[in-house]
Amino acid sequence: MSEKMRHSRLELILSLLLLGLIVGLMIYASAFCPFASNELCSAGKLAPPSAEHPMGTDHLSRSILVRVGEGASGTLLVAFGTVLLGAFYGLILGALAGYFGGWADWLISRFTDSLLAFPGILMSLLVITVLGRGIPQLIFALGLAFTPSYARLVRSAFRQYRGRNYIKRLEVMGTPPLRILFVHMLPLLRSQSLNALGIGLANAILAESSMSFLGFGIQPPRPSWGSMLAEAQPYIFQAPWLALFPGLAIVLTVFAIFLLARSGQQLLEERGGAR
Amino acid sequence: MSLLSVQNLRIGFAPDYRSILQDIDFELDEGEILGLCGESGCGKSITALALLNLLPETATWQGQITLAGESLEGASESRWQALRGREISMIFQDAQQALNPLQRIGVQVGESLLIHHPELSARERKARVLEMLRRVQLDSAGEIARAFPHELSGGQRQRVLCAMALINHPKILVADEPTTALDLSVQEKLLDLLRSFRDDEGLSMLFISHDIRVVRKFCDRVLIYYAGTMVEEGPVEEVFGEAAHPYTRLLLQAMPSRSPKGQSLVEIKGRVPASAVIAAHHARSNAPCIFAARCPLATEICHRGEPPREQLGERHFARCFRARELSERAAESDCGKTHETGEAHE
Repeated sequence: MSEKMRHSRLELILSLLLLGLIVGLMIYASAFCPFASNELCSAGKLAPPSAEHPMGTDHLSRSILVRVGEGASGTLLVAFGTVLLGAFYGLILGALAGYFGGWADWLISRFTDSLLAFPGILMSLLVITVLGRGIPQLIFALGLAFTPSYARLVRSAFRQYRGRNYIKRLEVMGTPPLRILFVHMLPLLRSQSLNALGIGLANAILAESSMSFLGFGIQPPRPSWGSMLAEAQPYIFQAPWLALFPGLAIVLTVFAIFLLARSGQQLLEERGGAR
Repeated sequence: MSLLSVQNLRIGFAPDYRSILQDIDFELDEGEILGLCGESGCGKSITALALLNLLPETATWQGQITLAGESLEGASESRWQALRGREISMIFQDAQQALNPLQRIGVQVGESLLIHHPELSARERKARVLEMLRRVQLDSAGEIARAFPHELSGGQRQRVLCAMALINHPKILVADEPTTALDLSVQEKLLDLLRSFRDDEGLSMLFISHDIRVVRKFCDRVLIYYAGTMVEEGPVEEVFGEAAHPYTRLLLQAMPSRSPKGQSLVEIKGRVPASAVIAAHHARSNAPCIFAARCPLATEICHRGEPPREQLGERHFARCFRARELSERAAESDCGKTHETGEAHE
């Protein structure tokens, strides 16, 4: 086993451990913990971490551990939804633009450019303002903001594939374009897509947290990491654990997903190369 | 009537679509092997792609292409898709890159069947794939069908490509330098294989190559391209035996085996003009011979006006002012062999 591969494997294990920690917390909070996320505890407001409340309590004397655990489900739901939606739209737009070129490419590229011209968060805020607040609306708003980057990625990949001789040979054999596109070219995206989806997921977690921080994301009483950070703001010096733990949860999750994507791609490539 | 007839084909590229290729006229009969020769950049491959309506986005063609009596001018894309792989097929130079590295050979060979004969069951398709692999003389067809492209040798891959191109029994095969990447013994076997398809099924071929030796051995007739036009055409023995166009003669003389020992190889001075120059040249009315600038035999008249299309034999034509004279001289001097070399140095 090469040094690089051992390194990748280590990264993979680390990322799985971290994700296991987050998921474990999520399961613990929703199933086994003696407190509910909105239950007021006897420890009082702004209690520092203790044996009973390992992450302390917040300004309404709710257990932060439970809230971080339960916040994970909302955050991850929105993040996965966003990435799937953005990648789906991006795949279709990018595939058509990259394969057909010409005016289809022009139209789609200008459309994605105009979406990119807005700062991502701003556009999502606009969509939420129009559609109202809620998790499906949030996923749609963020998914729209994530579409252009996926569309560009797929477009450039498909343009490149199109130049490959075995794709040209399929044209020579009379294969219809949509079959070339979705049966022959789509599987080629495999190794690139893992990385793109991973980084997208990490970004989506950050985006969801930002939206919740601004009050446009997941709405109370459901806890979310972003809104917990927002609530923690006034107490940052008085009780830093209010901000520390949800912040740490975001950082570790993003880090773990990033590591997972990177090591996963490297291991896939290594295996592909060795075959 | 001929199987494929191309008349007045011209091809232009963006942005202005001035013709880079023009005055392309040829016919391909059933069971005939037509060679296409010329330096790189003369428009050989582009001609092939036009026959399949697969020119790059930035190019367009005009003219009449008639396949088995059907005019394909303005045919719809779906009509072309039905023709490609079924009536007219193509094989490429680089067999390695023409195969998808992630798919098993059997699947790739079966693809064309799947498209043009969707009524076949998976089992029938598999049987036909194996039969075809055996037909192209790949022993242990079953193993090959399960293999990935990197597990095969160069010659095997080129055979797989032939199997793919010919599995629907097309009438015409366009072969774009199929032997260039192969070593000599493998080359020979591939040519034998292609010839067997001609003999058994009456397959016609357009054989693009810059290897004159192969063209001479393998083809019935040959077209000589220079800078986007046909300068000479005719049966192989006549064109290479009594070469009437100075460009053809220089191509012949540039072959290593034909130069006398101890003398440096004949080279054709200069290079094929850039496409913009060719387009500008073609756009002129009564344009002089485009080869005149490089032609060792050019006289004053060559620079003055358009060279005539001289008929030298029943099907032998050359576009040169001095064609008749050169062809006669070549015939006299025993097929225009090496002693013409001196003249090229003039």
